[in-house]
Amino acid sequence: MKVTVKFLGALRDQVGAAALPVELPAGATYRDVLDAITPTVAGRLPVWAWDPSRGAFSRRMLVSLNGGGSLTDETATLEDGDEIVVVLPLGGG
Amino acid sequence: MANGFVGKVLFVDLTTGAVSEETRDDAYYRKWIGGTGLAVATILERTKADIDPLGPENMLAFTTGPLTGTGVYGGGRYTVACKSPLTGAWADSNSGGTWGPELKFAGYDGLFVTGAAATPVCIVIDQGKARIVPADDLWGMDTYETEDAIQEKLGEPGSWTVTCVGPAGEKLSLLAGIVNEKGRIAARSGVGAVMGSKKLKAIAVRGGKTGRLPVADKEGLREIQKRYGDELKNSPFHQGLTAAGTGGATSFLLSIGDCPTDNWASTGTDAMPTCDNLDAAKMDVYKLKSYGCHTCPVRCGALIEIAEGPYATDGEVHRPEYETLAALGPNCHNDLVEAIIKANEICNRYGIDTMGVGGSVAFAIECFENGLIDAGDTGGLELKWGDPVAMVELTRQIGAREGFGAILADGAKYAADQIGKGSEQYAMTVAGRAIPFHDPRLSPAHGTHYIADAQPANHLGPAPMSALEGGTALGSDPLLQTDGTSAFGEWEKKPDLYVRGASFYQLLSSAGLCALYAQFYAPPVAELIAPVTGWDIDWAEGLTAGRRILTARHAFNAREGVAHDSFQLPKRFLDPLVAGPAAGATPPPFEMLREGYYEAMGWDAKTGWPTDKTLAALGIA
Repeated sequence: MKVTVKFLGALRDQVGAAALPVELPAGATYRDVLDAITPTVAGRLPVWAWDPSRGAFSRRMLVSLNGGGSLTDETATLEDGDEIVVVLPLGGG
Repeated sequence: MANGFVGKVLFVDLTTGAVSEETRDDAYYRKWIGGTGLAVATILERTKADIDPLGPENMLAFTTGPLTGTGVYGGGRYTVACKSPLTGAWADSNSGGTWGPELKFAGYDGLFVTGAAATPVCIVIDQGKARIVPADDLWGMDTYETEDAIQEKLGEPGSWTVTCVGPAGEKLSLLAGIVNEKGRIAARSGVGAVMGSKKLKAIAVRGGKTGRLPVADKEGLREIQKRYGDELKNSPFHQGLTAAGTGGATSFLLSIGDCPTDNWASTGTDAMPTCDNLDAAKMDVYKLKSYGCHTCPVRCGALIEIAEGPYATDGEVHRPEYETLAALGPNCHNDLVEAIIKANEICNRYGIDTMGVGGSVAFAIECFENGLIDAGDTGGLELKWGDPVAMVELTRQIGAREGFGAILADGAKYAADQIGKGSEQYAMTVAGRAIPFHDPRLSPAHGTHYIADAQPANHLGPAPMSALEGGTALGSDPLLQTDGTSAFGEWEKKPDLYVRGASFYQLLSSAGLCALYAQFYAPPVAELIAPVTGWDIDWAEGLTAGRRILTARHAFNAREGVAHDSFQLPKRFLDPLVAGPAAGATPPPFEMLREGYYEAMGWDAKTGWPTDKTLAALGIA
C-alpha cells in the first residue's frame, strides 16, 4: 500500500520535498512509516522538528492523519491512500 | 431586526451630549458584515480627512458581528476602531470576554462615539436605553477599581459588563488600550488614548434577560456547529490552547527563531537557554482556574495569583499570553515568569499594550547598554538585559506616564525622537507600532502583512495567508484551496494566496469570531453566517466582502495621505536569522511581495491606495 507524508510550510523547504510517498506492506503502522522515512528526513530536519532519539517527529510538530486530530500512536494501523501531514506550528496571540 | 443582528447602532456625541440611534438593514450588513466592516463603513462616511486623532472629531467605534452573541463557538469578540494616534493610519483592535455579546443583548450592533466631554463621563447602555453619566469620581482609577466602582455606582453589582480605560488612556499614552473584565484588552494602535481624549472613562452595558440573538435557521446552525465543534475538539492546536493558553510553547518558538531575544538582536535557544522558565506550564503553580470568553469551548484564558514575594499580585489576575511573555521575557532577556506576571498585571490595571510596553522597555535597555542614555536620564534606574526588577518598575512608570516612563509611554519610535543620538536604530516598530513577536523572516506572509496591512505590524491577520502559503486549505470550497509554495521561494505564487488569506481573515474577524481560531484551523465562517443570517452567502461572496473591508481600510489610509511605502521593517530585519528553518537565509523580499499583493488587490502597487476601478467594483463610495 501507499502512504504519503506531506510537509507544510517551512518543513517543506527543510525536507526538500512537499511530500514523500512511502510503499509499505498491508497492515503497516505509523511506526513503519517513521522507519521508512528516517533515512530521508533524519539528516535534513533539525532536532526541533525530528527527534533522533525517538526516530520520530518532535512532539512540538503537529502531525495529523487525513486531516484529523494529532497522530501520536505509533501502533496505529494505516490504510492505502492515507495522508500524514506534518506542520510547524507558528503564530498565535 | 435582521437575523444575527439587532439592526440598530448607537451614536453618542460627548461634546453636545446627544444620543441617537439609527437602524441598519439586512442589505447593509450583507455588504459590510459587521465588526471592522461596520466600523470602517461608518467612519469613512461620518468623519473628515486629516482630523487630529486625539481631537473631538475622531470617531471611536465599538462594533460586533453577525456571529457575536448567537451561540456560535468563538463568537465573543468586539472590535474597536478609529484613526490611530500612534500611526496616523487606520486602527482596529479587538477584544474577547463577554462585553461584545452584552452590547448586542443591550440593544446595539455598534456604538460610535464622537466629541469630547468637558469632564469625565461614562456611557451606560441598559436594555436598549443609553445615557451619559458623570464619572469624575472614577478618573484616576485603574481598570480593576473602575470596574468595581461602576458595578456599585450603577446598582445591582455584577449585572453590568464594563469596558474602560485606565490611567494610561487618561494620560493619552499612545500605547493605551481599552480593557474589559479586568484583563481582556483591545490593546493596540492607541485606541485607549482616543477614548481618554474624549474624557470617556468607561462604557457599561447590560442586556437583561435577552441572552441570545435570533438566528434564521436554528437546525442548519446546529448541524454546522456540531461539525465545527468536533473539528475544534480534535484540533491539536486548540487542545494545546486549552491546556496552556497561547504561551504554552514560548521556548519552542525561541528555538525555531520565531521569538526574539534582546530587542530582536538575536534568537534561538543558545541566545537564552533558560527560556523554558517562561513556558505557560511554569505558571500552573499560580493557577486558580481556566476560563473562556463568551461561548468558547477552547477556554484558553486562566486566572492566576502570586500570593507572596516581590512579585505578589494584588489578588487574581489574568495569565500572560504569548505576546506578553515574549515581549517582557526574551525580548528583555528576562527569564523570571513571576516578573512578567506582575508586569502584565500592571499593564492590565493601567490599561496599556504589553507588546508596546515590551518593545519600549527593550528599546530603553538597548539604548542604556549602548550609552545613549544613562541613570541620569532614567531617574536612577540602571537598565540592563535580564533585570526583572528594573523591567517591572519601568513598566509601572510607562503605565503611570511618570519618570522615564513618560518618555517611553508613546512607544519606541516616539521615544527615539526625544532621545535622538541615533537611537531610532533600536526602535523595533513599523510606523510606531511595535513589531509583534513572530519573526517576519521566518514567515513571508507575516512579514508582508506587517508592512502591507492598513494597520502596520499586525500579527493576527496573516495566519490564513500563512496557511495558504504553507499548503493548508482553508476549507473545502474551491476558492479556499492551495498547492502551497516553498516557504522561502516561489514568490510570484504568493500574492494570490495572500489576497484570499487576508480576505478570509477579514470575513472571520468582522463576523465576530476569535482570531485565535484562525491560527491553525480555518473555521467554516461562510457556512456559519448563512444559517445565522438566512443569507445564501457562499465563499465567493464572503471573500469579496473580506476584500471590500480590506479595501475600505486602505481607502481610509489613502484619504489620510498615508502612503504604505512609508511602512518599513527596521533595518535589523535585513540580516539573516541565526536559528531555525530560516537561519542564514536572505530575508524574504517583503517589498516585492507587498507590491504583488497590492496589485492583486487592485490597489496602487507603491502606495497601497485602492484604484477608482477597484473602489467602484466593490461599491465603496
